[in-house]
Amino acid sequence: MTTGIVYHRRYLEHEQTPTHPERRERLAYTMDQFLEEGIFDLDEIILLEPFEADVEDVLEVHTPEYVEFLRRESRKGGIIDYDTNIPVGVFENALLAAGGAIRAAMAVKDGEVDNAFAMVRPPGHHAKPYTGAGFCYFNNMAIMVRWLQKNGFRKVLIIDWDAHHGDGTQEVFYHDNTVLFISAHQMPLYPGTGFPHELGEGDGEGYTINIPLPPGSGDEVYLYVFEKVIEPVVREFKPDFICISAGQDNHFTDPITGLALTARGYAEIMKRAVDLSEELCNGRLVAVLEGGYSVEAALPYTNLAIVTAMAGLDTSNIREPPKYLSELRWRKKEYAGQKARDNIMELIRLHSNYWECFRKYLESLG
Amino acid sequence: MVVGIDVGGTNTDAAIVKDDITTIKLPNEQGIEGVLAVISKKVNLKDEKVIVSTSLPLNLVLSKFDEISTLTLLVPGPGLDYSSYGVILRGAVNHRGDVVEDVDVAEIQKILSGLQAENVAIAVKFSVRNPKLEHDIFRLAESYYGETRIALSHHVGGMNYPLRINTTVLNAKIMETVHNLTSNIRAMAGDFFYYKGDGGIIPFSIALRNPSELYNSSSAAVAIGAHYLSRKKDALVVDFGGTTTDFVMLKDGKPEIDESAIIVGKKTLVRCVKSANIPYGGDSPIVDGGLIKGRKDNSLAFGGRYFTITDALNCMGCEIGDYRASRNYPEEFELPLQTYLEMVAEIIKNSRAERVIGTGYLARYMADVLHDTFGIRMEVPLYAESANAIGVAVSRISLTLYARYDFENRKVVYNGEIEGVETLSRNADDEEIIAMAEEKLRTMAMQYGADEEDVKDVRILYFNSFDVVRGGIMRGRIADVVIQIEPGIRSDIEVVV
Repeated sequence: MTTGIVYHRRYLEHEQTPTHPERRERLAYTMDQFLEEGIFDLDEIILLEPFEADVEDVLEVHTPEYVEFLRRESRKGGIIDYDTNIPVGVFENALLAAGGAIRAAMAVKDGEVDNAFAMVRPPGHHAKPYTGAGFCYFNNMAIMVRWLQKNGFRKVLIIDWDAHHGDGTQEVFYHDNTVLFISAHQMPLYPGTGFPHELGEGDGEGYTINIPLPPGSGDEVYLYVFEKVIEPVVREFKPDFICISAGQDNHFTDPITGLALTARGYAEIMKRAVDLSEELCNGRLVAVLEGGYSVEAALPYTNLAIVTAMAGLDTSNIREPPKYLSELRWRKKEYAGQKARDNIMELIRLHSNYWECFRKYLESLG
Repeated sequence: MVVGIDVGGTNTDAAIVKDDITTIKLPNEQGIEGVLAVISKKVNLKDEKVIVSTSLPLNLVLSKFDEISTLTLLVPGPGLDYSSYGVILRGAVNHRGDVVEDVDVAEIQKILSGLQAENVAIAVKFSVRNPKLEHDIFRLAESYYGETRIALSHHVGGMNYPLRINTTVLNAKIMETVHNLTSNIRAMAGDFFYYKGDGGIIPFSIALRNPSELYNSSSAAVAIGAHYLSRKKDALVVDFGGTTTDFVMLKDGKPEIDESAIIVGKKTLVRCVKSANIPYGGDSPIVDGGLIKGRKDNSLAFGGRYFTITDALNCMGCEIGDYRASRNYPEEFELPLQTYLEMVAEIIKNSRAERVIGTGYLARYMADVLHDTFGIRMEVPLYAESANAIGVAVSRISLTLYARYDFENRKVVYNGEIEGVETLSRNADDEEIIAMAEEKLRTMAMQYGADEEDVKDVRILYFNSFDVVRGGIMRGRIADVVIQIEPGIRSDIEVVV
């Protein structure tokens, strides 16, 4: 299996302010790990050079007014919200991030690689059609999905496992039945949305699935989510293409969230996603980097977990160094599992109106 | 005065460069010691700068690579699976260069006492950021193997663990040979320099830590020599040796470089000239109308037992050595000679080089033949038969510095060794960091005897920096710098050919 990694030195350049959590240090250590592992010398890995997205493709998702606003403010610097400054030059960097996601999709579409990971910055899943938000400027994922749909892939699945609810992506596809959007995220947490009852509207009713998870949720909870929700509903949806908003702030060392996923956990859930793509859509899968702020203890290992799982490499030695494990012991909460199961039951009940698999599951419970 | 020596596949060449150039060519049977003995009759070697290029001992070792047993001890820590590369040990160094898991002494002792090998390669992931664990394992292995049979991966320098493992294994296998050779040369020549595969020179002490740097040094020497003798910057250099015929492209006065050479089928971190070769040279025998690879003995024209390509040239009208001896034994030579010439001509034509420079003893004869047969114009400069040794003698000190500055932890790692930096300011900007690295490199080069003029030409091969922030507070900058004093011709060379 060959996996493309989209990366460019310019992804290290973007910085809102020198001490902002979404800063260049995020990818610097990951690139150290990749270089030292000799990732780019492996036959299974192909480095893909991104391009800046065409504004035309961005306009499939964002309003002309917002695109113009960002272009203008990016020349002199400005502000969107408390979390999201507009540093000078961000417009071009955001285009390169969106273009990186498209580049990944293009490589899979053209058979250049089997699947691809767009290791881009700045992230995108909080960006809404009319505004940026939560460290995000352009919604890389949504722009890529619209590009895929223009290029022959009608039914697209998005799994957003960033610790934060992918509110921007949800909003773009809320009325759309060609895109199944599934978000598993910590609740309560920014942006405060992502309840099970947010399930789409109009044609899109039933095509947004929100799985709120309590702080302290670890590997077992994520595997339970795959088993009970994602795998059955995705098999029923039968996507032509699978896209992952691969946030890595659900790691147990992340400083701004409270989840407890491990590097092995990332490798496992990515393997599950890859298996689904092989079963349903000839392995067509693209992962796009979103958040993840444990720059030193998590990202080098979680990014490696994602890449090894995607490329079908041995993941048995993917782990964090032992010195971080004490962190996991206090972060992971056993009672989180019960709360997660309750939330999942609630969304299964709600979605049993739309999906056969959930109806049958409820019937099986009597 | 500088004495340059190149041990090739067939002959050992020496060039003594002072106000003029004196060259010496001796068959390899006399060994480098024999050449040094001849030269020491003319000059006192211990007072002069001696530079030695020798791919030969390496090639001998490489030819029996799999027969030499190496115990490869690895500490990969978390990450990819390296079990196919060697024995996996507990322990880990992270990307910041922090030891995040110690090695298990009992585990290592058990392996060392249980497994027998001729040498040891020790490679810890991220050891170039902190060599502590490699030193720890070295201390345990030393009592079993001795210093000259243990190679450490941080001495190789660059990041890329699998390639560094391959290079360290290579180093482990050739280390003792290079140590012995070094002792022999030092006995006659005192402290000396080795010639590297990328065309630079390094003090012998550096080569002992990372001997694979000597790989392909003869090709580098020929290319630099051809540039120096011809003053041409862009050309294909064709070296007509006794055993092989080698091709190196010169671009802007520098040989084309392979950043990660493949050696014995394995990709390594060895940086050396990119060369092509065909396995036939002037001494390759022609038997029963066919060409035989390599060399078996001298040509008939030089008292040998085989009719060779050199003898065939004599039959074509050249007058090389005792050319009558060649003509007395008329073999079927036209077809094999034609086959050889076509191979050479094809590489020349495919290279699309605007200029071809011939070197080696046969070059001036080959120039005529190639011109008459294929219309190829090949320049053969004066002293072309000793271009390799002259290339060695005129080259300057060249060093690469891998520097890692961690201003948060006040730690600097230069070429894999941590240095104390209590005075390091946390506010250094990128320009200051690069200046610090350049200063370090210049100081090192001058300590090794480089000329002040020659250390000015510093090239930045890689630079990256970012700030470390913890809890919203800036803690210091991290920067990686790879800089090099590029290989080239020494500025104080006064002889103009």
